[in-house]
Amino acid sequence: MRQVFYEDVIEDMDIPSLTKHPSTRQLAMWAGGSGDFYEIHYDKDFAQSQGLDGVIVHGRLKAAFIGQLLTDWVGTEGNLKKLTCRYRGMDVPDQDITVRGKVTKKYIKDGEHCVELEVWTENPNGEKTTPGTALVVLPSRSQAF
Amino acid sequence: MGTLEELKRKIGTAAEPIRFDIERGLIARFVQAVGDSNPLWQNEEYARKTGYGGIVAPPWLLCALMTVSLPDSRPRSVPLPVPEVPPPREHILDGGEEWEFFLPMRLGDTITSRSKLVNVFEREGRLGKMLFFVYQTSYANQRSELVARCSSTLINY
Repeated sequence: MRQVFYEDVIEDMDIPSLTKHPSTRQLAMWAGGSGDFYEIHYDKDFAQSQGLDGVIVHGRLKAAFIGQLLTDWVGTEGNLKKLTCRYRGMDVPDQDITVRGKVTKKYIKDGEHCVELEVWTENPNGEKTTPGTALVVLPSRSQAF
Repeated sequence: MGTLEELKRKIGTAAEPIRFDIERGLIARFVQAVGDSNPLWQNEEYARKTGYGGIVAPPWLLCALMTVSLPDSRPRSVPLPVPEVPPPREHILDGGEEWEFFLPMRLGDTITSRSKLVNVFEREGRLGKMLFFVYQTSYANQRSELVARCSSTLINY
């Protein structure tokens, strides 16, 4: 993986997107690992009794997808500092969830090279189902050499 | 039971702390569920050459660990950060979270999470009158260093 530096970043730029395609198996694995056994994530009958068409993806799994987008981007020399997300729309398994980010601001504060982003997950209709914001710290070329 | 006034009196209620060990098996399970092949989370040889000097857990692991091993595992229920104060209405939605990450979690660390109810309020929304439960959770390692903090919201209607 190539390391991104503060100097490479410009405001309004998109960062490389990430496409996820969670299967019901992944939802079951997340449920088992996290202890979130709420049935709307793996029991279709129960989900339908709650007025849903079928099972839905865990909100926090989508937060983890956004986390992956950011840790992929900042590399081993950058750091994820803050992540905020709202679960505005539901996502269903076995279809694409595209995870995207756009730089909103860059600045140096207390010697740290900070980048703020707008981040979100998007369903196949292009709707933002999990909008959020993030703050990361990147290495600077001026510090690297 | 469960009027807004009664619920407001419960603000400050803390849950039992939850402890978990950052070990390879735990990381592997979540990395597989998420589908994140970053070698920093699993490949010791690779991780040793980075500034971290060894394997660290992905920060997003905490998104899952808020709910891990909660004692309250009743059927058809949502895991609650503070099970001692159950939301009284029928439906619960996860509203969202705000995460702050301070320190990496390394293999062998023991993390203790502590959650408390910090606010309850009611607001008119798409689905009628909705109760909002706001929780704050802190994560500390075995040296009592603050690793991360999370503010989360559950919507109850």
